[in-house]
Amino acid sequence: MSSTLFIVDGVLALIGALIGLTIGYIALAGYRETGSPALLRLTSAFIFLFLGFTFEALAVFSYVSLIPIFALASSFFTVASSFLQAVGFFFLAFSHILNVRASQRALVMPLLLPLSMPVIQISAALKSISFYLLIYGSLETAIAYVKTRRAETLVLSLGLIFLAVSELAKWLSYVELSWPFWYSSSLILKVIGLSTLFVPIVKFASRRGVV
Amino acid sequence: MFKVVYRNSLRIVVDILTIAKDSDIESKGVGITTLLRKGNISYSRLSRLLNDLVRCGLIEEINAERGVRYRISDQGRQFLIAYSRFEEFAQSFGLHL
Repeated sequence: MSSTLFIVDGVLALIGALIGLTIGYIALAGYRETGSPALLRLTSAFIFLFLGFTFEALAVFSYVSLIPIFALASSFFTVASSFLQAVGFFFLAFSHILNVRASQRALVMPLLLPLSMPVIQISAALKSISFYLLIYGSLETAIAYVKTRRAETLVLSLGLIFLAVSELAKWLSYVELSWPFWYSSSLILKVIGLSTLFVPIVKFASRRGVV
Repeated sequence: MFKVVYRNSLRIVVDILTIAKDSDIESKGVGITTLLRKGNISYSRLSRLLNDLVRCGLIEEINAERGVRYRISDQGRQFLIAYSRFEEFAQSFGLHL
């Protein structure tokens, strides 16, 4: 039961890595063509997320001995993946912070800083930071939806909330006795959250720009 | 309540290119007065910007009888298409280019 859950988690992490790489690549192509700093920050966010999800898959597969050669490095991969994902989510939230006016930014930053207090272990601490960054990113995306009324912005905002709650459920699975329930819930929420990230990719691929 | 929306330098470039494209009816280019009026930008800033755009090949300079006129190049049109696509992509994430 538990090894099946871990394998599903590993496969989902690989899908997440693929999505991160695709979005990072599109954003990089956009940065090269337009020179927009917003796209550079988006590229950084999704390249870090790609690396984070790749390390997460390596951690899970080495933990269940699917990749025995990496078994000793499993804990390193776990911490590295949490760190890289937190950095990726930071860049995603940071892009929104730069869109907010300076006076409002001053109010937002103190909210973020105390949330980085150490928790039980490094990985759980990093996951809690990712949770708050995702919540912040999803709220800012929801605010952007109110301004632009674009359906895909709303879908992405909801997707980020699902990913945030997925991080919270995974965090709970580290500390709760009924961990299979929390771990399974985290996986289901992750599937929904990752699915929404396909929306901008599909929309971009389907659009042939006409001015 | 009236809210002021500030344009960044990339947005100003896109606005100038769009004006050069839309106002150029007979492919004779547009004058600097049209760009100034529709672009809502100061003369000194527009002069510097036009020099940069000509140097990058996004706008062509035409020497006409009544002074210099400006026409969007093919590269400029390609830039507008790319901008439009990536703007939509960034907006999906709630961001502006």
